[in-house]
Amino acid sequence: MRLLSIAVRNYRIHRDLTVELDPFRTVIAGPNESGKSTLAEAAHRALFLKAKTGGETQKTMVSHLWPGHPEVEVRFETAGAIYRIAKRFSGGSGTATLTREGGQTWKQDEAESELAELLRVEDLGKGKGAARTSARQWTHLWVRQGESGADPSPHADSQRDSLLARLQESGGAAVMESELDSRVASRFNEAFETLFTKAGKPKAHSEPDLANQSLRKAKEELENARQTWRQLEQAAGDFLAAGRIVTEKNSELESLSRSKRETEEKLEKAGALRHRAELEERDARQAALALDNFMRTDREIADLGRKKRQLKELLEPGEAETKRLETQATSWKDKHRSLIEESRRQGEETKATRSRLQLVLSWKERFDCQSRLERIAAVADEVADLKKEIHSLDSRLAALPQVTAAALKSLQALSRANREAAIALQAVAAGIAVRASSLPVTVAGEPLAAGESRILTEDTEVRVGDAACLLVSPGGGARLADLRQRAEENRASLETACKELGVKSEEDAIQVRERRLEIENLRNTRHAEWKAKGADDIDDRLADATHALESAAAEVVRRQEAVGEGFTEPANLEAANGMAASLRSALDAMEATEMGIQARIESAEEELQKAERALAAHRQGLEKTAGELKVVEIRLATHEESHGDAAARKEKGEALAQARREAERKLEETREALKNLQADTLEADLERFNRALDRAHDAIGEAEKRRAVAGNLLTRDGATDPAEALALAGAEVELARHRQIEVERKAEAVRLLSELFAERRRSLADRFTRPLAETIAGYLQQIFGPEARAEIALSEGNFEKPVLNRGGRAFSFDELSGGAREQLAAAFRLAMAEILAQDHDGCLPLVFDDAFAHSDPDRTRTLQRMLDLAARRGLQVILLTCHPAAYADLGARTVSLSGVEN
Amino acid sequence: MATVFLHTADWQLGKPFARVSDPEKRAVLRQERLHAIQRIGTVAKEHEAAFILVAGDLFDSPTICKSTVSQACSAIGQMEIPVLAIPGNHDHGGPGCLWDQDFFRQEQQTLAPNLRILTTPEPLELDCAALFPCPLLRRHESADPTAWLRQFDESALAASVGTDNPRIVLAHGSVLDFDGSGDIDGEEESSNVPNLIDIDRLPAALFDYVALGDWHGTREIHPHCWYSGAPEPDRFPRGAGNDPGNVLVVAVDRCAPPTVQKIPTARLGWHGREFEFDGDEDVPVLEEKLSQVTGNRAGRDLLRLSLRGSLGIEATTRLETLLDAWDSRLLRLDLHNETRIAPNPEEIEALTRRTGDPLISAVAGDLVQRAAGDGEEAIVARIALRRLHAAVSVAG
Repeated sequence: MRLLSIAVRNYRIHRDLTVELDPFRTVIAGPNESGKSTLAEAAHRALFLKAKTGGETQKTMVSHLWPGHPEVEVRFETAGAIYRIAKRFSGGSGTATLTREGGQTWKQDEAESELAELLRVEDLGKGKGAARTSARQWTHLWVRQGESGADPSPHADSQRDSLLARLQESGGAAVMESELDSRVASRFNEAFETLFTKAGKPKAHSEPDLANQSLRKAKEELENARQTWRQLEQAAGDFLAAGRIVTEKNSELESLSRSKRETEEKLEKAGALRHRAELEERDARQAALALDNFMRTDREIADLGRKKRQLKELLEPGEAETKRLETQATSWKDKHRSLIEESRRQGEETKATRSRLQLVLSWKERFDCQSRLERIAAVADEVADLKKEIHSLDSRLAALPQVTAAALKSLQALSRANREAAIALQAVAAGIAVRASSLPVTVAGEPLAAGESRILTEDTEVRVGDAACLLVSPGGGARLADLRQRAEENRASLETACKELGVKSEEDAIQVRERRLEIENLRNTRHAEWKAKGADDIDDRLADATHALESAAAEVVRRQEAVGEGFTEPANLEAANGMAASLRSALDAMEATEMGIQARIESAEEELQKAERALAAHRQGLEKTAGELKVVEIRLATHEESHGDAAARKEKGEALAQARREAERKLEETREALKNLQADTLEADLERFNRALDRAHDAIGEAEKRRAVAGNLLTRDGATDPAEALALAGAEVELARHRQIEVERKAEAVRLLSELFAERRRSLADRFTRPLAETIAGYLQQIFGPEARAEIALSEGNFEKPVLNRGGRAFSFDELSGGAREQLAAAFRLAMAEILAQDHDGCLPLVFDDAFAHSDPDRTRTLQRMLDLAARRGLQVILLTCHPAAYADLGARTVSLSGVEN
Repeated sequence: MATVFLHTADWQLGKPFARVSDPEKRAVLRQERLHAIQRIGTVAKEHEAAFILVAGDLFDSPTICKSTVSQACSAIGQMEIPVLAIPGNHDHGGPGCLWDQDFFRQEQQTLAPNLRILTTPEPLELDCAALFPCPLLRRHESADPTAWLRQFDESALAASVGTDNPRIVLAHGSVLDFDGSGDIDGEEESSNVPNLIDIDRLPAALFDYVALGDWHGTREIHPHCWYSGAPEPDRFPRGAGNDPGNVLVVAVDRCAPPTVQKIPTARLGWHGREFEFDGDEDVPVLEEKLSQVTGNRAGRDLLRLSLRGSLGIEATTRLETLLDAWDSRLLRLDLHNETRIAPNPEEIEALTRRTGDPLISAVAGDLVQRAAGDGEEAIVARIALRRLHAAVSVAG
């Protein structure tokens, strides 16, 4: 079947379009929205959708641009003829006309039926379902936009019968599984699923599982029964063992009691022997002691004799040494005495010099006191003069009025008030002055000479000569009298005050005050000088100095007496100082000499003492030795008196040694007897036997307890028979095991059947799918190279997703990239079409609507080789694309759609 | 006049028959052992036995339950003559033994005052015989239980039990001359057991009869030394020489050879059969043979059946149907089925040459191949083949 042309009218975007198709390769190019997919869909519907289809399907075909019902006409070639199917999709009034060129024409349903037959599809009849189903027709050949990368195997399933029929032919007499095969296989598969999980383990509560559980339970019960039985056996064993222990221990008890008795008897004997041994030990000890004492005394006598000789030898050289030491002591004593004398002499000389020095010093002191007395006497004179001057000044002050600062201040205040009163009076008073007068002028009776003036504060008679008597009255009226009175009072007060002070006036008072201040200052200065010269104690100091001089003079007299005559007194202090210095120097030298003598005396004293100590020690040693010798002689005499002479002592010593040996022999014999009796271990033995007896009793008690416990366990009420329970449980395990094996074998048989059926199915399917896989591989190799293979599997009659094998590595469909998926799916579709084309005169059209959107440009170029192979193998490849340039290498007829038709 | 007594042993009352999975059938087997006591009593009466000697294993275990004890004592009590028993290895007289339990003593005193358990190895003088019991005081006695008899000489025995009465030794264990081929005790135990009796070391002239227990088949060791065997068999036969299901009527006199008469007392049939299939047509042959074993009886027989050979799938199904029927008819069908399912050529063809069903044919072919071996895989494959055959038969 080959499409020749597609014509559409009033179909969505298309008003009237006819596309002529190449028998093998056509590229329908056009931009988006140019109606490529619409054209492909229209062709599909012309072939498969009933013309009378209405509803939504019909509406989707109606053009909103162009009036009139959608119409599609497809010319195609099949069965050796050219047909034209023309359909008008106008719902119930739709029409279908199939025409064989140069031949018959079919209308409507006949046309639809004939068309279905030509296309070898099922006539789907009418109705809603038919429209839906028709859309699925030939979907393996119509690759719609967006579906190119989808798994193509469902399409193979949809064509399974045709495909398998063709594959069966090419597969070489292969037979498909029958219905019975399927039924039986399903039955075992179901049986397997009932018995086993997907992991192949027995399902819970399945027969094998229940058999396993039964076996487990039976084993548990057997173990319980065994446990019970073992407990009984254990109890019986314990009972017997405990009985044996009791018997053994009773036997042990007898033996131990016997041993104990024997040990006790031995112990008794050992006690007696020990007592005897103690007595003999005491005897031996005493004998030894007597011998020791004797031997010690004998040794002591010998020692004393030796010591006596030694002491005597010591005493002889002692006398000579005594003499030597005495001489030495005497020598040191003389030397010491001589030094003492020398010291005495030197001391006297020093003393005389010291007395002279003290005399000189007393002279010097007397000079000093004299000098000091003179200095104080001079000061006393000055003090007396100052005293006199102060008295003089005091007298002058006493002669002056007692104008103190306060009195002056008060007087000045009175004076100021007087002046102010006078001023106030003068303010109201009248002045009168005599410029020139030839006549005497008197004012108030008092002459006023030319050039003089007078203030008149009261009515005053002024006479000029006699020529005139004038009464002058000052102004002020009554106030004048007040002022005059106040002025009078002030004046009187001032005068009184001046009188009280003894001054004439304020000025006089001021002068007096100044004079007084002057005299007071002088007096203060003199007084300070007087004080500074120590006027307060000048008399005492004078008296002291006098007394000191007297004392110094007395001291001189005393010292002179000590020194005696012949020592000239110095003339003055300087001479005294010179003498003193000279004497001090001499005295220092004498004292040094004296100290040297003293050191020698001390040294001599030390040597003397040493010599005396040596002498004393030596003498003491001699005395001690002599004393010791005496003691030794006494003790020696005493011992010999007590113990006899040497011969007697020898005899006695031998007797004592013999006695000791005898005592020791007896003791040794007794000890040997004790040793033979093993007396030392008898107590331990007895203790051991007692312990063993206790242990045996304990063991018997313990064993009897255990026997009682075991006996209790062994005592039954007879309700059950553990032996029977054990036997039954054992048999039950055997039975359960047998059942379990049987069930397991049956289950394994089911598993085997299920697996074998699955395996055989796969094998069968492989035989069918091999030609398909090889055909696909042929296409894939155009793209992926000669190593490329396709793996196609049938599972329970359905195709599984194809697998791409490249270079030995298998890639499942889902793990491929988008581009590779598109290419594998296209190869699958091409191979399918190639195989199915055998039912359609060796050709089928394949419409790829934008089917390689995910392929890169390089891959797009190589896949054109694949598409070309399909065309070469007789298929009709129709590509719809908006990138026609990408398929330029295909050498296809290119039809361009420009967009909305006008 | 000779003393007549019954020598029996190995009653093993209360034996659980644990391998019999049906509890009712188990109960029948156990009950039958009690019924055997009645039959022994009848024999004793018929032969006017003075007493009955049970040479050990009166009970099956030392911990037997009270109800069995009660039933046993009741049955023994009805015998009305003295029944003297020694503990055997199953009901030994060790610590916690049945004989020491209060409930046993009580039932014995109440129901079976004629029963006496001889737990001490010491001579016992009866009116007409002197007994020398050799009780087992533990399950496995390493020492010869009859060793104590070696201490005696004639004068000692004469002083002890006199010289008139026959002297009878009562012991339980295996004698030295056993060839080990037989089943001494119990179904599963080997002959390599302790409790060995060195019968040759027994001063033969001193004793007139040795009554032995432990060996479940009746067997003469010497003319004066016998195993009585169990009165009721309790296992499948293991050879022609094994003759269980009897008691011995013994007439013995001092210093005279005893006369021993074997009296059958068994009621249940314990059978063993082997059969090898030579073809599918042998299934009816087996059916016929089995019918000959039990006749029309049901519930009285036990059968150990060993099957070998091979059968086709359908014949196997027929065999299983047959065996199911026999399993219900018998007290126990101890089946040792080693029959191999080997589809016959028709069956193989019917499965593997199904041109229209390629899957089934191929799988069947695989299974036929796998089923050829002897291992576990082959067994599973044979089962699978049967299931496939059944599935095809049903679905086809």
